[in-house]
Formats: sequence, structure tokens, C-alpha cells
Amino acid sequence: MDGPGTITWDEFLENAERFVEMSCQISDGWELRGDKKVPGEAYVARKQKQYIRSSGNSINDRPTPRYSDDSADDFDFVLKQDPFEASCPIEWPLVTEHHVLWSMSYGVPILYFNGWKSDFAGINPISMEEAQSLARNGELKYKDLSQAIHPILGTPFLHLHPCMSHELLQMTSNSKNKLVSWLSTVAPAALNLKLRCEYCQLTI
Amino acid sequence: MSKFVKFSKLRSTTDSTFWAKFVELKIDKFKLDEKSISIWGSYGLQSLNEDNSNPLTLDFTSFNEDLETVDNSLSVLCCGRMINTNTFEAFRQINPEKFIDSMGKDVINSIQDGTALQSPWKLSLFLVLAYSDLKKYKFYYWVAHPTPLKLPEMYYEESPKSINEEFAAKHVEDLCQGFLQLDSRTKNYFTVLLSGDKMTIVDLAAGVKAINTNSEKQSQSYNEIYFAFYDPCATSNPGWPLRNLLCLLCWHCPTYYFSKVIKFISIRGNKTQKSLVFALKSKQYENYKCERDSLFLSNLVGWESNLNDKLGPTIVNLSDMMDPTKLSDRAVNLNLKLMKWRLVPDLDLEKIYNLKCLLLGAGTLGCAVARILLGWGVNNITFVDNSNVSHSNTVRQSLYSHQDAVKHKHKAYAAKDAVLNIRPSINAEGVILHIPMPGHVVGESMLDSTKKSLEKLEELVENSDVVFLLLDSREARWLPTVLCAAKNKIAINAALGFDSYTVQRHGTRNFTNPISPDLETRNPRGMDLGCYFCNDVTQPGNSQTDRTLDQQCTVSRPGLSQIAAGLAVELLITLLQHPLGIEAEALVRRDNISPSDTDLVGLLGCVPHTIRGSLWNYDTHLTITHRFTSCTACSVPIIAEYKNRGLRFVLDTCNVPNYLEKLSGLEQILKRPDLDELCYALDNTSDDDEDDKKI
Ligand SMILES: [Zn+2]
Repeated sequence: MDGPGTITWDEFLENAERFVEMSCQISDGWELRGDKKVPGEAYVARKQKQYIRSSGNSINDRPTPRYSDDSADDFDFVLKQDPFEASCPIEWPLVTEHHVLWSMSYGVPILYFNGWKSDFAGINPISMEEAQSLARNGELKYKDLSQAIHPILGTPFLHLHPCMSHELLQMTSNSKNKLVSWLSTVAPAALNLKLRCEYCQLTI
Repeated sequence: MSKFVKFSKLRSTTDSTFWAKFVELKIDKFKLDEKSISIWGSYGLQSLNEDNSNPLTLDFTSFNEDLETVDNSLSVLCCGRMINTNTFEAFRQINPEKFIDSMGKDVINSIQDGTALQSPWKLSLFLVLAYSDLKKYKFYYWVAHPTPLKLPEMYYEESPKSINEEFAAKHVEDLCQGFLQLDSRTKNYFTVLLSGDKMTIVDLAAGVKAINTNSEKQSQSYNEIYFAFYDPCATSNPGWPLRNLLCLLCWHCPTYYFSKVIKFISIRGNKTQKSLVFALKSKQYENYKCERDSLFLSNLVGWESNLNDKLGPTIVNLSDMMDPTKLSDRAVNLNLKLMKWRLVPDLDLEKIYNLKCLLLGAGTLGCAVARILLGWGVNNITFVDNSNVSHSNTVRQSLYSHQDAVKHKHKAYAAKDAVLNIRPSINAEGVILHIPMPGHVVGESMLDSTKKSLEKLEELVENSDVVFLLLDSREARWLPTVLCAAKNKIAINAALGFDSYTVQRHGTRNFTNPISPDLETRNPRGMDLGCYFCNDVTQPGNSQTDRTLDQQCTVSRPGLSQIAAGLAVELLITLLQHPLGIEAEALVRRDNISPSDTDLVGLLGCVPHTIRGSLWNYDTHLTITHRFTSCTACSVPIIAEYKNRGLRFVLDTCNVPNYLEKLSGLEQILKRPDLDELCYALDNTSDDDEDDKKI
């Protein structure tokens, strides 16, 4: 599909390469994976682990302690009081994975992502409902968040349906890097993905 | 300011690759060795989320021996010691306070002998106490950052400042560049000197030397001295690493430590941009030497809190990620869940998973049915067969390989091994069993084996939820049909001709009702539906001798078994997901199906009774056979006799000619003058115009 509100594979790939170059400079971990020679077979990806604190929205609700089981109760030690230990806010790990693919049938980029409220990708995944409520709370009011098979990896991911991307791409038609412009708009709907402000330079 | 300085605790995080590598090393290298091993840990400088703690990360590189392989400009590298106990008991019995005191002693030693001055990473030593259950991929671990408990109290001389308030823009930039250029271990602790307009970064030894020389000469070779430490914490308090730096200064320049304001730079953010400057001063102690001594004699503290915010180990179960069997399981389940999520949200996958399926016959149909059951995520499959894999089987019977034929393996076992190969977590069984058949005479010599076969078959049917009749002769289906009726099990029957097939569910049997069902009902319920033998007017006999039927030579078009097997499994799944289950009304005519007719339409649609199809004209019919009160397999007199006489009954069917026809009342009917009328009644419910050749 081509025409307004779409992006060609060549343009996607060119934008993606600029994007990853910038990521290299600022070392925030995005990389290009897959086969660049075949349209639709390469994608931009990043896996990240961070600590988050509660702030009321559902992603930050304390995970049910999947780590522990019955035997955890045996291990609640009372150790020497340490007067120099500051009380700390409660934080817990969140692993996220974001993949930006190009959809041949829609001619637009598609964002696939997964999140796990644990130290490990694969354990205690963020449910579709949690992700949906996050996406709805965001400014975009993105409704079309669902589960889908990652077309290259063949495993389930959450994804934002590409139907809205046509509109968004049309709005970014003056951008020097449509991929970045589009991604920065949809990112908040995908588990609050944040893009560093340096990427803005690529669009002007 | 009145409150003494407190320190934010550290957090660590393990990557699954850390445990994967550990398991490998434990098996190949460490074995039962419980000695401590050296490991690396690092704070990444790539994090975007600078408002929260940056955890100490342990991954597969943690076990690398050479520094070169872990050194990189994008991290702050720390050294650690890990002890892994061999048993859970040993792990539980370790006293954490004693453990940290003895294992953390290296920190104290490195300060007192001065090695930490040149090798500042010795101050950020971390400890890991672990127990790993390698079979279950379950790991218990607890990380500590040892530091002496009895720190002299420090007070804020002024509020913490950002580096932009403290330094000129040029020096902020110098600090950033200087920090990034340090090697990854030296990034832990260093000294920053300001002299004139110049900012220089030197090691701790040079910093301590500068202080001690100054106090002797009473003149300063610098304007300002800062001790810097990488601080992964993000609160307003300085992070834990400052404690050991304070200890080092207390030991090496005590006069300065107890009398001067000391400035510290807490290096934060991936490019030092979030760094803070703390100006601290010690409490005035009457006898500071005494304080200093007690500091170095004190116990060590520094155990991390786990994610439940308790002092204790983190327990993680990685079997989902590391156990290959579970990996395959997850993939199968996810596929089915996708179907559930996207297409049929009410689908009861649990019910399908737990279903116990008995497959009688492991030939073309048995193999194909098993594969489709696997596709639905069925977790319990038992194969019953008494033949062996031959070379002619392998191309048609989809579970068998050439090797199975070479070894002449029993089909029941080969089929079981094949499904385990496909999905290792499944409960699969193989049973070699010859099913007693009516008309196949049982002589004295076979009495014992027939008895055993019957008992085994009874047990297998009893323990199943569904029995698939996939045998290659009509009479072999007879006893299983009787057993399913007597034990009220779901029976799914599939049979093949050369280019035609029949797939059918048997009706349920209520033995108190010998009266014929209402043949006029449009869509009869399960209780009024017949079995495979219900529209037969002869009893099953030895087809090897009379050859009236085609069972003896069962060569079918190869695609046929796949079609029939697919229909058989889908028929089962549809009825399982129907609110009435096996009692669901049978679909006959496809016109005017109302989705709101819940007696007929279930979650996955309608459930026919019999599906007949032919590849000759690619036709499919839905037909119905009613329950027949003189059926030779499922009628009241037959079931009653089986229940009363068991083995004797079965032996009579094998040995006494026309025994079943007499018992069921079929013989009486056949003598009736109105036989033609009756046959019409039996047949007219089927739309099938063809002769009712039994296939
Ligand atoms: Zn019957």
C-alpha cells in the first residue's frame, strides 16, 4: 500500500538506520535486527530493564510477589538495626521489549512490545488489560491495543493496530524522519515508552 | 542541620543469562565445590530512567575470568564473591550476619593495608549467597554490599547541591569527560582536584596523599578537593558506596576526617549530569581514635532487601525460561490461547488440556487423531494397538519413522515415543493389547490372555474421558462400544473405506429405558442417538472368514484418514464446548440454524451425530441413527448381560454362533413379517440415498 499516510520499505529502512545511529551515539540500546535485504524482515528493537516506583497507574502497581512461594516465609530475617540506613521508596524491576516493524500490507510502521514486572523477560508478564488501560489513559486514547503474533519471531506480543498510523503519518509529512516522528507519538501508548530528546534532531 | 547522614541501599538484579551460565558452570566446572568464586557485577551507564535506582546487574559475563572481556566504557564494574551451597539445608543454616562478617572482611583489609587506595573497586565488593535447585531451575539468592556498622556520625554542612551549582560549566564538562574516560573499575571511586582554573581527576591514593601532605606543609597545592563515587541511588541521600569511602578516609587521614568539612561528588546519571555534591562534617568526638578503632572492629552490614521488601533471599523460578520442555509447552499453550483471545473468548482450554483420551488403534487414523489432539493441547493420550510398525506403514501413518520400521517397534510404543518427541511434557502411554472380537473363537489356550485383555481394556476405558474407535475391523469395535455404553464414556468412532469415511459420536445410554426413541424428533438428543452397530441387522462376526465387508483390506486413499481424523477430533471438541456436552442435539439439516437455539448450537457451533463423506464426488452428509432397542452392542439386554457375566459373556460372543442376535432380540425381529417396514423406519432418518454399505 502506498500513498499519503504510508511509508515505503526503503524509507522505513533509511529512517531506521538513522535512528539506530543516533541510538549508538547516545547509547540507549536500540538496534537493528533481521534481514535488511528483504522488505519487512528487518526491525528496530530494544530490551530494557529499569526500576519503577508506584505512581498510581496500573503498570506501577506492586507486582504480586511471584518470586516467592511458601518457602519465602522461612527467610524473613531480623538483622542488626543499622542507624545509617536511609528508608527507601519501594521500587521494582520492569523489563520491556519494544520492536518497530514495517507492515507490508499497511505500508506503515507497527510497534510490537512486551513487558514483565520482574527481573526476567518471560516472568510475570504485563497483561493485555493492564497495557490497554495504560494506553487508554494516555493522551492518544489508543483503543486498538491487542495481542498478536510477531510476524518475524512468531511469538505473542502486544501491538498497536496500524490503522491509526495512517493518520499519524499524514500529520508528520514534513518530518525528515517519519519513523521517529511517528514513534514519538505512539510510544506513550506502548507501556510508556520514552524516547530521548536527541532523536528530535533527526526530524528537522 | 541536626540529622546525621543516612545512606540509600543498593539494589541488584540478575539476568536470566547469569543463571543459565551458572547452571552450565555448576555442572561442568564447579560441581560440588562450595568454595567462593569471583564474579563481576556492573552498573550500566545506558539507563534512561535516571529517577530511579540503577541496579547492580549480574549476567553471563559475571563469570568471565579476564577483565578485558567485561571491561567497557559504558559501565561501572564491581567485584564480588559468590558462594553457592549444594543443599537447601546448608543454605538455610547459614547465618547471614556471620556470613557477611567473614566474607566482607576483605573490604576492611583492603582499607587497612592500603590496597583500596590504588584499587578502589575493592571498596565496592559485593557478596552473593545462593542455592540453586538445578532440576527445577529454582534459584535462591541474596546479595550483600558489606560495610562496617559503626560509622562515625556525619552531618550535612550544607544542603546537597547539583554539580551545576557547584561548578562552572567548563568544570561540569571536564568532570563528565574525565569520568567517562576512567576505566570501568576506577569509575567506582576517584578524586577530583581543582587548582586554579584546572580540574584534574586522580585516584584515591593521590587524593589521600594530597590531604596528608597539605596537613604537614600547611599550604595547599590545590584550591578544592572532592572525593567522588559512582552513586546508583536516586534519592536525596547519598548512596551506600559512600560508606566505605568514608571508612577509607577515616583510616588513612583521621585528623582531616574528624575535623574538616569534606566534599563528596555523588556521580549520578549516565553522563554525570545528575551528580550531587555533598559537604559533610563528622560529629565532634572526644576520642576520635577510639571511634576509628571501633569502626574497624565493628560488624558488617549491607544485606539487600528482596522485592517483597523483606530481609531475605530472592527466590526465582526460571523453569519457564530455561527448561526446554516448558518452552515447548508455553508455545503450544500460547497458540491455543491466541485462538481463545481472538476468536472464541469463552473457549474452555482447561477442559481440553485435562481430557484423558484413549485411542484404540494406532494406524493411519490413530496417528492422525493423535496429532490433531496435540494441536488442541490435549495432555493425556493412551494408545492401544497390538501390531508392529512395518515398512509399508511409515508413509501413511504419520507418527512413525523408518527407524521404527527397521526396529519393528510396537505401534503403541512407537506412537507414544513420537508424541513425546513432539511435546515432551505430555502424558502419553502405549498399551499392547489384542481386543477380543465376536466370532473370533477363543480356545482353551487363549482363555487366560483373553481374560487379561478384557480386564486391561475395562481399566483403560474406566480411566478415560473419551474413547476413539480407530480400529481396522468392524468386530474389533464391538467390545469397546459395549464398554463405553456400560461405563457411560464418550465414544468417537471413525472408519474408512477406499474413498469414503464415517465419523460418528455414540449416543448415551440410559439402561432403564428399553422403549424405542421417537423417530420423528428433528434433532434428537444424545440419549436417543445410536452407536456404530445400531442400524445393523446382523451381528458383527468374523470378517476374516465371511469377507462380506471391506474391513479386511483397508486400503484407503491417503488423504482420507486425515480428513476423517480431523472431523473426529473436531466433533469431540465441539461437543465438549457445547453447553449440553454429549447430550447436545444432533445437527441434520444445515438450513435454518438459529444461533440462539442453544440446545443445538454450542460455543463452536453444531454437533452432528454421523458425518459421512466420499472423495468420489466430494460429498458430505450428516445423518442420524437412532438408538436401537435390539442393538447387538448397546441395547439394554446386552449391557445387562455384560454387567452380570463379564468374561463369560464376552467368551460366549466369541464362541457361540448368533449369540448376540439371540440376546439382543434381533433374531426375533428378523423373523417378523413387518421386517421391511421396520427397515424403512431405521433408514428413513438418513438422507443418504446410497445403499447403506457399511464402511
Ligand atoms: Zn447401538
